Amino acid sequence: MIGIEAIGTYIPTTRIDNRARMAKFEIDEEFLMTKTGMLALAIKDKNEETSDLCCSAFEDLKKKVDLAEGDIECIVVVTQNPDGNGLPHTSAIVHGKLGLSSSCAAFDISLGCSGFVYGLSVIQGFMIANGFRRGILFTGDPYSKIIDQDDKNTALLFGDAATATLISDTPEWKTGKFLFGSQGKEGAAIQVSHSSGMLEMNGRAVFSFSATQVPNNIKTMLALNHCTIDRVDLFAMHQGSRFIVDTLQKRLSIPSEKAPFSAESYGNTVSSSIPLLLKDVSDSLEIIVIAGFGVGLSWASTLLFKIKE
Amino acid sequence: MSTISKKDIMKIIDDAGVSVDINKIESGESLTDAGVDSLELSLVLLGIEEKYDIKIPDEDIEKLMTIDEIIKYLSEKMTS
Repeated sequence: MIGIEAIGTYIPTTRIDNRARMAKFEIDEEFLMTKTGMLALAIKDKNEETSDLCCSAFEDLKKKVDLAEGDIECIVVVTQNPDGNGLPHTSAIVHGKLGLSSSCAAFDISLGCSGFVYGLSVIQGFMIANGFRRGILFTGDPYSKIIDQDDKNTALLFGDAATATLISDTPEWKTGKFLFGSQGKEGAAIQVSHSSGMLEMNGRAVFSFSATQVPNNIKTMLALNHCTIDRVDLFAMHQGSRFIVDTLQKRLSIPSEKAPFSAESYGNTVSSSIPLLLKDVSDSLEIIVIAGFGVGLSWASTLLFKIKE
Repeated sequence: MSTISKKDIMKIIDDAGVSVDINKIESGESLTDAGVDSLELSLVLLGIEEKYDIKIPDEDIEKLMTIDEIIKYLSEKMTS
């Protein structure tokens, strides 16, 4: 059996203070606190590349587990903001910077906010198919590369971060059955503009999609796993905004403490938001829902089961 | 289809959990002027779409700024 053994994370220390921009965007503190939820946004250094963020998350992972670079058999990087123009793939650059073995496989996955959940399924399937024992799933999607800081729809939301999740044959968590979905016809709701190269987002379209598709997806996924909402200890939702997390919590009729929002000090970190939430979960939890949704439009969920000693 | 009333629309606004006292919103008053913010308005519009099984295009939103306008819009949609 393989699954999640440990999660390393990296959040740049530099912050944009959204409170200082309230007048510019004609919003008040109440809106920041209760709606977007992001009081500050983590911003990488201009000289830091996506691969550097991933390497920093890997360094954090190494502090948590006994991990020799030579034992890593595959790495996968989930990003849509790769180093340079994406060629070579960022995972190859991470592979080089970390000095991994030449027998270690490395590839990227192009996905946004659903990327961690998809990535878990992909890397586990890849490892099982090839008999691998240790692999790393990276998420690193620094949106500061594509944010127009004058665009109210996006400038108050996104932060930079990266995570490195060790998938191994000595796991702490195993996954249940996954359930995926796509709505490609609506993909223009979040896209990079061909003309400006900057992110554009139709907030209402993204909100409506999330509020309708995600609860249905989670309920169906739970049934697929012969599980019920009341048995779940935690719902680790993609941290798109406080408003969407609160809306999903209400639509699923779950207690607010089971659907936490934790991104207020660093922002929506895209595919990194779920692993950032998971790294701090209590050891007493036994069943967790993870649900990612966004760019694509795309969504995915699964269950994490704590492996008892 | 029965007539759409102010009460029906007030119920949708209430269910959306807006942060203003819905009883103080006048029928002809703009929801945003009454204090409903952009995200809450998205939830109100979603509530309308789900209750009446319609899709409200972005270009129609400016026709849906007040409770009266919402009733008029829905009445036309239901009879067209």
